[in-house]
Amino acid sequence: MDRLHALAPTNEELMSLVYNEGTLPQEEREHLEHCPICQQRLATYTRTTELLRTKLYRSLCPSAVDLNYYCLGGLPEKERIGIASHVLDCPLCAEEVEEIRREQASFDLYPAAAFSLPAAVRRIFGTLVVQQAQPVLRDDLPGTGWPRQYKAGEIDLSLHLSRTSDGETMLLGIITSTNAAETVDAFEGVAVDLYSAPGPLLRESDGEQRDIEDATPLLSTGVDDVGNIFLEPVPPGDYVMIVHLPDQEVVIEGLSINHS
Amino acid sequence: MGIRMDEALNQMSLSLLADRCANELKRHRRKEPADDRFCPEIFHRAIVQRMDQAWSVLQQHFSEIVRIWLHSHPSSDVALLRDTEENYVAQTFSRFWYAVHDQRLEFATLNAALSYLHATLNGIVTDTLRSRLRSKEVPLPEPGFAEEPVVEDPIDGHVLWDSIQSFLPDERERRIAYLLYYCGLKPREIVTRCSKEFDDVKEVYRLSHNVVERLRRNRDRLRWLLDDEEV
Repeated sequence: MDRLHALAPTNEELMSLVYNEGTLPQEEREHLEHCPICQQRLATYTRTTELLRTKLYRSLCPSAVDLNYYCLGGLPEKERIGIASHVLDCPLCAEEVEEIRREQASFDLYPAAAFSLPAAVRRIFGTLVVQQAQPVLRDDLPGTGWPRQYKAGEIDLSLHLSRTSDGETMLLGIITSTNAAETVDAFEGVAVDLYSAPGPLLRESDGEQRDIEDATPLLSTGVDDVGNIFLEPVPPGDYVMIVHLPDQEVVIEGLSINHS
Repeated sequence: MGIRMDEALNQMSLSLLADRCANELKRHRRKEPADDRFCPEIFHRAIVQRMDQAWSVLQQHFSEIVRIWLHSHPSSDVALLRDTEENYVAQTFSRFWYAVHDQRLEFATLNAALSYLHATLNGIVTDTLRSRLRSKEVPLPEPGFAEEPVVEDPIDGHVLWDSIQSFLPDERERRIAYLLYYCGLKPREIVTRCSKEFDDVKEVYRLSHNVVERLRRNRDRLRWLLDDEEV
């Protein structure tokens, strides 16, 4: 449709309005506000453009799955040539291909188990409490003697060594809570695992931990109804103990046991 | 020696193979050297030999890794608004299955198999985001309104494009039609992204007007092609 009035917007100006990219000079804007013919022109162009964009948008593009296969070189020759030709025409697919290739080049196919349940459980490391009442022998470094008292949040854990009638070493523990609302039987049935060091957790050089998924405990037991833990027989060695409370894991590291 | 090892692998029970595969995968995830024979054998049994149990084992062992890939995708938050994690994982295995069968692919290494599996997931997520963009182009009308879309048999996109091109004798008009409607670009975006082809936005407006007029002149055919009364 040609321009019928000197103040009527040009076709190009109307197209700029269709795409919300242009503004009209004041006089043309006022003309448009009052001219039903120009309003009709704008409405027609807008409707046709919207319809075409809706019906045709990316309808010639290969699926993104095929684009990914194409970037891996995993398509038959005919499809590969077809997509290569399309990518030359289509700026959107060209961008996607570039992005896919960049990602494929750097993607880690074997991510760490960031979402595994054990990693999601809150983990507290028990700290050794130096007890003033305990005599420290000349050859004993603090933290290497027995019995030991550990604290992890509200949890207190006392560990002792004893001997069975067979002469084997037995590790005894008693777990209590400093939270007055928590009774001792709250720990009944809680699983306790004793692992050979380093246990299921590795501290990496940057201080981060990661799980060793297939680490299996040397000994396992459950807390009894008064909070006692019995683990036997414990051969000499270095150990890590994990107490699996319902909402957290208490980790006790540095348990060195020797028969002397 | 190699033949004997292959034979041993062929004869290995699926459960033992599954255990070895799980260890292989764990070693890879710890960035430790791994014996890459057991996982590809599961892929082989599942895909080439079409053993249902092997396919179940494959899904069981690799679902977690697909899940982690999904959550590490830069657009996972948007993608997960459109569909559930379970559906993405299920679609990934399903699409992977059809693709490897269609193309008769066999994977010699675990890396090759996982790259293909990851490509499948990545494509599914991107296709979901594309469909979201498509629905944002024009919002769907309310149910019951005259413009509510009806289920229809779509005309092949290439047939439609051939017809549209036949209405546009000028090569630059055809190119503009492609960029405006098929790529959904606006005139200023065309000048920015395709500056070697078009460096003047006024020319793009002029060509886009010509295209609309030519298509409207052929609106009877276009209506039929687009199955729409609004042209």
